[in-house]
Amino acid sequence: MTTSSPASPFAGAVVARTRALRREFGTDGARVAAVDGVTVAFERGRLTAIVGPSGSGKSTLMHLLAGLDHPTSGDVELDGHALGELDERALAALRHERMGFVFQSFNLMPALTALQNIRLPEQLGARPRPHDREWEASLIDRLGLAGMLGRRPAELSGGQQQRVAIARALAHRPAVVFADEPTGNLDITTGRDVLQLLAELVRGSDCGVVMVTHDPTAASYADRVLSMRDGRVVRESERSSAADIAAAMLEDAVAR
Amino acid sequence: MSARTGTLAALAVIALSAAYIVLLTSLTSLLRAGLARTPFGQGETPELVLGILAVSFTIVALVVSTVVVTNAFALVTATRIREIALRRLLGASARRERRRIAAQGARLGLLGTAVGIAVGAGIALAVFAANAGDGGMLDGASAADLVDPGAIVPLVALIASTALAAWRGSAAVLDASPVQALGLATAQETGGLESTRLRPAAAALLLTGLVLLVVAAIGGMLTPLAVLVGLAGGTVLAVGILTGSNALLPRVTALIARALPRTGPAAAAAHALREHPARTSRAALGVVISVAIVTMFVVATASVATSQAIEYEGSTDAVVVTEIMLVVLAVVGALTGVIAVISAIGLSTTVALSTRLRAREIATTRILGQNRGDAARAILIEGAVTSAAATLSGLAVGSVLGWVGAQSVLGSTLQSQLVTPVVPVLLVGVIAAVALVLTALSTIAPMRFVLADSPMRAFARA
Ligand SMILES: Nc1ncnc2c1ncn2[C@@H]1O[C@H](COP(=O)(O)OP(=O)(O)OP(=O)(O)O)[C@@H](O)[C@H]1O
Ligand SMILES: [Mg+2]
Repeated sequence: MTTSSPASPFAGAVVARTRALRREFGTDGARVAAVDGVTVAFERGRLTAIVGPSGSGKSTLMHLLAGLDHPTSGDVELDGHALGELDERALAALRHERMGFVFQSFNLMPALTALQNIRLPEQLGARPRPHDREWEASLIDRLGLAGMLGRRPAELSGGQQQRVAIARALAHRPAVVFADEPTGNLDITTGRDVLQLLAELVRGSDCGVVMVTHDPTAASYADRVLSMRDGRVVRESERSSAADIAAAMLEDAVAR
Repeated sequence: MSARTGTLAALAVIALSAAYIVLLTSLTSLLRAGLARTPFGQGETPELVLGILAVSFTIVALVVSTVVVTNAFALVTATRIREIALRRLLGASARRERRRIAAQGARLGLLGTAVGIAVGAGIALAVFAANAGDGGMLDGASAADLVDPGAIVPLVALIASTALAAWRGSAAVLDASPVQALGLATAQETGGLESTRLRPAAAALLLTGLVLLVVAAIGGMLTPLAVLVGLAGGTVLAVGILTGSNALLPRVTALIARALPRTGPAAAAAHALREHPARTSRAALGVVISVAIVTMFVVATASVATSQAIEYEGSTDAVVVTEIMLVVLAVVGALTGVIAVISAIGLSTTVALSTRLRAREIATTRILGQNRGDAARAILIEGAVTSAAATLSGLAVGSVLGWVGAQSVLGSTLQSQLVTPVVPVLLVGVIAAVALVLTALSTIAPMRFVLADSPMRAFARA
């Protein structure tokens, strides 16, 4: 892994891709395709947003990308691994080493301090694998967490908790970070700050971010926006303003 | 692993305790009646000894079942805590909610006690029928002797303690304002409310108990009357352990957990144990008590037998010593058996509770890359550490009490003035097996609960 540089040497390098991905739910009688033939690629060093109305399959697609769910048909390739060929154990190891996660509800461990939370993944393997401490320190610094490392989640605001979660997601230098509604529990200003930081941290690095969101403002921080409807990707655009994204979302919703 | 599990566990414990109390009192009363009609039992002593034994084992059963029922209700409340908080937010008054929950506890107490009385009386009757008229000890007794009015007191205490346990289990949520209640629901789940400081009262009791025990051991060199000091010391120490359990047991657990690796499932288990010290100690308390009782009797007997064998130039061979020990183990084991079962239910309820409350954390950790096997292993280790801490503590406390008992009674009769302390290998083996079974029993259900789902589905359900 290389350190980040603004020159973005990774731009265009694919970190994850899907081919004709399909995921059906339900029994024979009433089968619904939550993801219905999606072929997309996600790049390193960029923040890709997936937007779309409720039930359009955004979360399902993200779970398939992360190996947390198995497709009915089609393939996922992540950081050079074909997920379909990996068993549970190998998928867990891949998540541990090559992926980071940011949740809507933060999901920090309540009994651990902020720093312990950031270092939690170090302990998940058979042997302790300390992260690059220099990188960790720079993350803590850039996320403005220096003064609160000894506090527990209950003593942090939502925005602070989400920043700790971002540090946890990035500390092991993953290939890709998955974020499902990362600003869903934050107010507009706080959400904006958090996304700004996330985007700055990955832009130009070799880490790609896949973010699911309802919120046009959040999506406006992305380098690329994918719109989904009824399990398909119906629109793809480069970085746009919140107003444009909102207009497009409305248009997509009316078009159904 | 739900409110139903907790309710069922509480019901089972109440029924078991009631059955135990009825069985114990009616068999004692039967035995007393039988004895009274033999020349052997004319004096007051056998009756007194029987009475003391029955009362002490009844008290122990009451204490253990109250602890377990309180924990079971904590499980019930914990799984409903959001619902309760929400009901209050929507306008239900705290007083009504509290009454509803306490009434539920009282109902459960009544139902369990009724079932227990039926079962206990049935067994007692069967024992009587099987032994009457065979020329044995019970020959002089009649079926009417089975009914001991004294049983009413512990049975009422049992029902009352159930209602109290239900009440206490929900106190935090009901004391708060409706909005706070929702927040508290979270705080309670995260264990922020548990204190592990050793309260001065408990420390004083422990210290007094220990001093009395030392005095008894030394006094035993001079007079058998030292056993009275020992009795007082043992009782004070036991009360001290009970009141200080929230501070003591977590420390034993932490000591054992320190031997674990600092990564992987062991780290997750150690974290879980640290998080809920009070709950863990309540879970272990019943096991500590059962193991301590058995150990105390066995160590006392073994020490006495061995010391006498040494004193009389080894004329009493090891076989006889072992035989005596086996008999003691069987008798005390039978008396302690039900208490041990109650304790086991308590332990498994608590491990279930702790898993249930951490479902979201466990799912999160799995999403972050912990594999299924390690997630299960973490729960297994947590259960193993808890039961190891409990059995080891029981073994230690029981050994000390057993030896002090033997020493205070017999020390003065020996040339060396010291009873040789003996902790039989057999006992340690039996206890280790108990710990193993306990671990298995307490972790199977939670492990299955955690492993049944994919991480994502577990997360969504938590
Ligand atoms: N485990 C499941 N079982 C059955 N159906 C499911 C399951 N998970 C998702 N679905 C269905 O798949 C479709 C897509 O769901 P998904 O959660 O991916 O939507 P989403 O775009 O993330 O919606 P939201 O914005 O509301 O989170 C929905 O119709 C949903 O009901
Ligand atoms: Mg979703």
